Amino acid sequence: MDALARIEPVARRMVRQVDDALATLGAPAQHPVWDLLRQVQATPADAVAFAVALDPAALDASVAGLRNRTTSHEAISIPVAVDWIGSAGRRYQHRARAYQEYVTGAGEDSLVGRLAATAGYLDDLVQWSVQARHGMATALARAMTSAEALVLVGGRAAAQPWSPNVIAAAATIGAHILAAAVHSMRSGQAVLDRWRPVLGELPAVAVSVDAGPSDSAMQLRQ
Amino acid sequence: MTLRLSGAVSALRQASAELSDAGTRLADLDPGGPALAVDATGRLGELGLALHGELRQALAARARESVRHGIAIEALADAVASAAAAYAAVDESAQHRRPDGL
Repeated sequence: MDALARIEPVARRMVRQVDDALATLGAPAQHPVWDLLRQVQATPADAVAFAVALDPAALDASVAGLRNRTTSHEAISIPVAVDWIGSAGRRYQHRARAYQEYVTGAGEDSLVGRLAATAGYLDDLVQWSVQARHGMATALARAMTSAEALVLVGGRAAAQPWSPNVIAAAATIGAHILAAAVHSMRSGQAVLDRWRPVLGELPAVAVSVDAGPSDSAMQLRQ
Repeated sequence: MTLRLSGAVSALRQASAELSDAGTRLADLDPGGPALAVDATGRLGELGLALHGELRQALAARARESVRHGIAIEALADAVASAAAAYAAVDESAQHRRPDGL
């Protein structure tokens, strides 16, 4: 259980009050919460729900599976040296080398390379989701211990009409939560942008037809 | 070290089977959209969908690459097997022409 799993149930009531205040009374005209709401297009409670839904453990299990698959691919061996001489044998060797290179070649233009890149992307998603959850937990912890929280919870507990102070406090807490969500959005987009170029599908292996001078006869090696 | 053609055919078929099998199993590694909060509201949900969509497409691409290359290797194995059979037929024919074994 991480920090968000512990703190979110405790903060839920406060976050709901923030949403209520924003939905029913809005926020001061120049308050930063407006810009953050436009960026996220979701309420503070929605932003918390997003972080809560992220599941690093499920993502991590997939990373392990992909790493295992990568290791298995690395062990695949295409026989190149066979008892086959002459032009047909050379053509076979040429093709076999290309096929092996396609599976285990260095860099991202091989099956192993693309699997490793996919695992790398997923691994970054694990780290990103952990950080997103941690960032939201930190934002909630700070919000709950802020002066604005005292104003908000105190004002609502007194069952008084929303006062300007309470509305401003709700907006500030909302902005704090949404800022954490915006940070996660940007870092998540950065993960996507970083890996997308190496996650596309490889074309089929290409083998040039010319593998040197051809003989008219095929021969087995003596 | 060199392999006899029959050994090469066997090794090629094994590599082909490994790749084809991997291709059919890769989709199982998708953690599912909920792990990336695809149902979240607003831009957050859009981000979750984009992140998961990229992962799903990448896994599908890995699967197609693997299966496609498995098929190519299988075809290579078939070609080598045909060559080996042709050599065997030539050898047998030569034996028939020279029953004294010279």
